[in-house]
Amino acid sequence: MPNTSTPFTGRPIPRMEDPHLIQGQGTYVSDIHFDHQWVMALVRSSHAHALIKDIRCGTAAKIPGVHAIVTASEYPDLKRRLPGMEPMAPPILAYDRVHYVGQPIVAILADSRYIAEDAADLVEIDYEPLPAITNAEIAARDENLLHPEFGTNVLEHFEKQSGDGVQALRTAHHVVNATLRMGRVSAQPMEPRALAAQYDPSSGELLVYHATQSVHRAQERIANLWGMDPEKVRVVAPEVGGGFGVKNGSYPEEALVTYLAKTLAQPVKWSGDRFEEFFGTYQEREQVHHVTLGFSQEGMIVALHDTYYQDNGAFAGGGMLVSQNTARNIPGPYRIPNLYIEGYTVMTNKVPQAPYRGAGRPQGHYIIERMLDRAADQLGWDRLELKMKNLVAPKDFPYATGIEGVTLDSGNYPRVFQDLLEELDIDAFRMRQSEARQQGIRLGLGVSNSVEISAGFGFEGVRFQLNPSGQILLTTGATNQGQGHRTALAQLAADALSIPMEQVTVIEGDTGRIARSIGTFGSRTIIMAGNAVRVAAQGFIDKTRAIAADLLEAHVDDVVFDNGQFFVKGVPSVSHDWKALADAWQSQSHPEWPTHEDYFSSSSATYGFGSHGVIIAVNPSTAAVRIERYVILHDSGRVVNPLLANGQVIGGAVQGLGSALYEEMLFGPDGEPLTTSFLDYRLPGANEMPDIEVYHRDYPAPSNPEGYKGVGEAGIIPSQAIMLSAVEDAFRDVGLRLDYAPITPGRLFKSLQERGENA
Amino acid sequence: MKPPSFDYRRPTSVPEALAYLEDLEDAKILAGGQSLIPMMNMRLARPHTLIDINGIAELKAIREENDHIIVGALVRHYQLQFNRVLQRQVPMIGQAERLIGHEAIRTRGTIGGSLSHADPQAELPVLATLLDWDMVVQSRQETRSISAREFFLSYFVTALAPNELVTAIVMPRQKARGHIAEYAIRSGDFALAIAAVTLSTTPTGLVESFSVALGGIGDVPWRNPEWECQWINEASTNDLFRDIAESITHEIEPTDDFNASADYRRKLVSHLVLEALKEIGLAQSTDDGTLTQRRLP
Ligand SMILES: Cc1cc2nc3c(=O)[nH]c(=O)nc-3n(C[C@H](O)[C@H](O)[C@H](O)COP(=O)(O)OP(=O)(O)OC[C@H]3O[C@@H](n4cnc5c(N)ncnc54)[C@H](O)[C@@H]3O)c2cc1C
Repeated sequence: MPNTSTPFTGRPIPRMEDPHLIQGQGTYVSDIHFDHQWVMALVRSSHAHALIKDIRCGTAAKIPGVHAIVTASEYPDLKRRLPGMEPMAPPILAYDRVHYVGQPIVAILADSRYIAEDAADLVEIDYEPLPAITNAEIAARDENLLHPEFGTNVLEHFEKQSGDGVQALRTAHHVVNATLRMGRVSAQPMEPRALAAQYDPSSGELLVYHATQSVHRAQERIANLWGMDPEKVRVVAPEVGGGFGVKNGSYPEEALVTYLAKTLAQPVKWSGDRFEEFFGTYQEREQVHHVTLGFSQEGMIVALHDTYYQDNGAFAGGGMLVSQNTARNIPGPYRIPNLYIEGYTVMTNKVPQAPYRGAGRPQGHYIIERMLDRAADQLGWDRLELKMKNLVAPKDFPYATGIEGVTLDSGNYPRVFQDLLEELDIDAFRMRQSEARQQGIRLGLGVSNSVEISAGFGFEGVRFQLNPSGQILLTTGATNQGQGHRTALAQLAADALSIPMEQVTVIEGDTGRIARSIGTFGSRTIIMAGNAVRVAAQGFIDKTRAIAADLLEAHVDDVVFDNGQFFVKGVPSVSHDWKALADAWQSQSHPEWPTHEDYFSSSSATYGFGSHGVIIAVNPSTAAVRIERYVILHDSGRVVNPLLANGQVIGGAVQGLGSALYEEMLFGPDGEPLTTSFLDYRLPGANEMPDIEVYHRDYPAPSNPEGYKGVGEAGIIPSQAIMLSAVEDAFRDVGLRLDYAPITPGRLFKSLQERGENA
Repeated sequence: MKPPSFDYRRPTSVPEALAYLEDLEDAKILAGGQSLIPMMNMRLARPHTLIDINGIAELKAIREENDHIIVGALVRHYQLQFNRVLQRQVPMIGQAERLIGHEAIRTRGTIGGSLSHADPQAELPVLATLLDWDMVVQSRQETRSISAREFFLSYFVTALAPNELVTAIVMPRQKARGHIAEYAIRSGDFALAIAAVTLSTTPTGLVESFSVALGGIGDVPWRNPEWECQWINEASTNDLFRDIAESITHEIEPTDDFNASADYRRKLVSHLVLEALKEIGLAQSTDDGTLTQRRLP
C-alpha cells in the first residue's frame, strides 16, 4: 500500500525511547552483570600535589572478598601514559607523584563495591606534600613546575590575528578594558561514568560496555594502548545517562578496566559514584581574560585584543581544544575587522579540563557580549543598539570572521535580534523597571546573541539492514546519551524508505555493528548521521532493487522505487513493498540479510544563531536572583523534530543558567576541592527555572545537503553572559560591574556591598 | 559511596530498643534515615549496628495534654506539616515544614531524627529553641527531660548520651503569633540563615512578649533572652521592628564559609528578622483571634 501520508521529518513526534526508559527498562552499564565479575574501586589522591613515599596495602588485601590490589609498581604496564592526553599525559595509576586530588593511585578488585570500598579505606599512603599551584596566571610564570620533565606549565601558547591585529587599536576612537573571569564547572551527568569488560582468552576478544559518547574512539584507544587488533575489541555503549562532553575523553578508569579484564582474564566492572564524578571527571570553563575593545566614534567595533589563560588542570587532553575553541568563538556574530587573540593553556593542580557542553562557545561569547555591555555602559551608549549595529548582516554573508575556518553563512541576525526585542517589549519593560525601582524592587534585562559553530570535520555513517517482515534496522556508531536520536533517525529513515516509523529500529553505539564512526558530541549527530541516512538510504534502495528485479522478473535497471514500492518502470500496478522483499529473501534462505553501509563527510561547519533575552528580579536584601522570563529566538536550520530540538535548546539554557547563578567548583589554598557533593555544588532545579520560551527562526544551512544545523549547545552559550548582563542592568543606576561568572548570591552580595548598595 | 557493613535490629518496643542501645557496641538509632544513611554512604558515620525504630508504634503519636502537645519522636515531617492539632496549637511548625527539603524527604524524615541530628542549618532545632520545647529522653536507667537550650551543644552534637533515645517532644501551646523566614539558595536547600520570631502585644500596642531564634549562623541555634527583654513594653511599630533588625546584627558572630560570608549572613539575619516581624505585625492588624497560620505567598 503506497505511503502517501505527510513526512515524519519536521514533526514533533514524541520520543520512541521514552516508554522504555521511564519504566526503568533501560540497561545502563551498572545494570550489566557478568558472571563472577570483579568490581573495581579506586584509592584516589587526597593531595593536590605531593610525592608518593609509600603505599601499604597489606591489611586491605586480607579482607575476604578482595581479589586484587593493583598498583603501578606491581603492574608496571600501568605506568604507561594515558593515550589521547598529549603532550602531557598522566600515568594510568600515579606511582611517584600526584598532581590533583582525585588522581587514581590504587585499584581494588573485589566481589562487590562495598567490599572494595572497605579495602580502599585500609590502604595507607605516605605523601610528601609539595606546594599546590592553583592559579593559571601564576602557574604560567613557571616559578614552580608541575611536571619538571615537561619544562613549563604552559601546555600551549597560541596567537590568532586578523587585519591589523593589535595595531588597529591605535586607530580606535574609544577603548574599553576589562578583566573577565569564569569559574570552574562540572558537568554532572545523571549517570556517572562507568565501564564493564570481559575478555575471552581463547578468542582473544575483549568486550567492553562503556558509558561513552564515542565507541569507535574508545575502541581505537584501547586497542592501541594494549597492542590489540581493533577487530578484537568490541565497545558497546548501552543506554547512557547524559554525557555533555565529559564521557568522550580518555580516562584512567578506561585503561584500568580493560587492562585488568584482559590481564587477569576476569570480568571487571567499575561504576563511578557521585564523588568520583566530582573528583575524577574532567571539568571546564575556568579562564581569565584581559580584554581591550576599540570602537570608532560611531560605535562600530574597530579591534579586539584578548590575552587569556585557561586553568587546564594537571594534564593536557581535551582542554586544549576548549582553549582553542574559545578563540574561535570570541567574535561571535559581530563584525570585528581586526583581532589579536592569544591564549595560554596552563597546567595547575586540579582535575584536568575537557570539553563540556559548549566547549569554548560559552567562553568566547561571554567575552564579546560582556565587553559590548561594558563599552555601552562606559561610553554612555544603549547596550541593545550597540549590539544591533555591530551584528553581521545578511548582505555580509559569507562573512569570514578573521578566525581560520569560521565563515558565517546564513540567517538574518539583525532581524532575529529585532524580533527578540519586540517579543520582550523593551519600552514596556523599561517603564516597569523604573516603577519597580521606586518600590525597592530591582528588575533587570539581559540580551545576548550567539552563533553556534557545529560539526565541520570528519564523518558519520549509518548502516541499513533489511530484516524479516520488512523491518528495517538502522545502526550508527554515534551514541545517544539522552538526545532522542533513536526517534530522529527513525523519522529520517522512515521518510527515506517510505515506511512507517514503527518499521524502523535504531541501534546506536556498538563497534560490532558498524565499521566506523566518530561519535556524539559538538552538536554533530543530526548534521552528520542525519545526512548519512539520506546517502545510505539511496545505496540501500539500489541494492534492494536487485531483489525486487528478481521478483518482478525484470532487469534491475528497469526497476524503480517510489513511495515504498518497487515496480517496473511504467507498471506501478504490479509492485512489491519491503515486506514482500523480505519474504522473498527469507524464502531463498540466504545466510545474511541485505545491508548497506554509507558515510557522510564534511569539513564545512554549520552556523546556527540565537538571540536570548532574560528578565530577572533581584531582591537587594538577600541578593537572590529570580528569573521572570527567558525568551529564545533560535535558528536551528532544518529541524527534524521540534520537540527534540527545543528540548536541546531549553536543556542547554537551564544547564547554563546553573553555571551562571549557582554552580562552581571551589578549591582551597592547597588545591583541595571544597564542593564535592550536591550539598554545595548546586545544579538548577525545576523550581528555580522559568518556563523557557523558544521561537524558531530557522534558516537551512547552506553547507550540507539537508540543511541541518547544530542545536545541542545552542542553549548553553549565552547563559553566563546574559545573567551577569541582567544583574548589572538591575543595578544600572549604581553602576554595578560584574566580572566573574557565576554570579552566586554570596558574590553578588559582596559586589553590592562594595558599591555601598546593601547596607 | 557505599556504607561499611553493619548489623541491623528492628525492635518493636521502647524497652527493647533501649536494651539494644545499652548492650550493643557503637549502635545508632535509625529513624527516617534522611541524614544518617547519606552520612553512612559517605562513610562519615560508621555505626556497628543500626537500631531501626520504625516498628515502634508508641513513638508515632501526637497527643494534647493540658497546655502541651506531646509529639512522638517518629512523627514524620509531612505529619507535622498537616496535623490538625499542630496546625491549631503550634502553627509555626506547619510553616517551617514547607521549608524543609522536598516532599520525598519530608515523607521519611522525623522530628526526633531532625532534633537528634542537630544540624545547625535545620529548621526544627530553631523552633525547638524559640518555642522552648523539651525533649523526653529515655535510657534503660532513667527517663529525663532536656530543654532545647540545653540539648544542642555544637555542630551535630547534642546532650544525648549514647544509650539514650528521644521518645517524645513536649511543646507548649504557641501563645504568641510567630513567623519563620529563611534564605536558601535554591528551594529545598539548607538555609544560609533562618530567623524564627514570636511577638505578642498588649491591647494598647506595646510589646508583651518577644523572642527570636536563629539558625544557620553558628554551631547551635542562637537565642538571647536578655537581649529579647529590652524590647518589652516598647510600642510595636515598624520603626521598632527596624531597630530590632539593626540591633540583632551586633549580637551575632555568624559563620563565615564559602557559601556565605559572615557579613552576608548578618545582613540576611537582619532582613529575615525584619520580614518575620512585619509578617507578624501584618497578621496582628487583621487579627481574627486565632493563631492559624497565614498562607505564604
Ligand atoms: C536532600 C535533603 C535535603 C534536606 N533538607 C533539609 C532542610 O532543608 N531542613 C532540614 O531541617 N532538614 C533537611 N534534611 C534532613 C531531614 O530533615 C532529615 O529528616 C532529618 O535531618 C533527620 O531525620 P531522620 O528521621 O531522617 O533521621 P535519621 O537520618 O534516621 O537519623 C539522624 C540522626 O539522629 C539519630 N536519631 C534519629 N532518631 C532518634 C531518636 N529518636 N533518638 C535518638 N537519636 C535519634 C540517628 O541515630 C542519627 O544520628 C534534608 C535531607 C535531605 C536528604
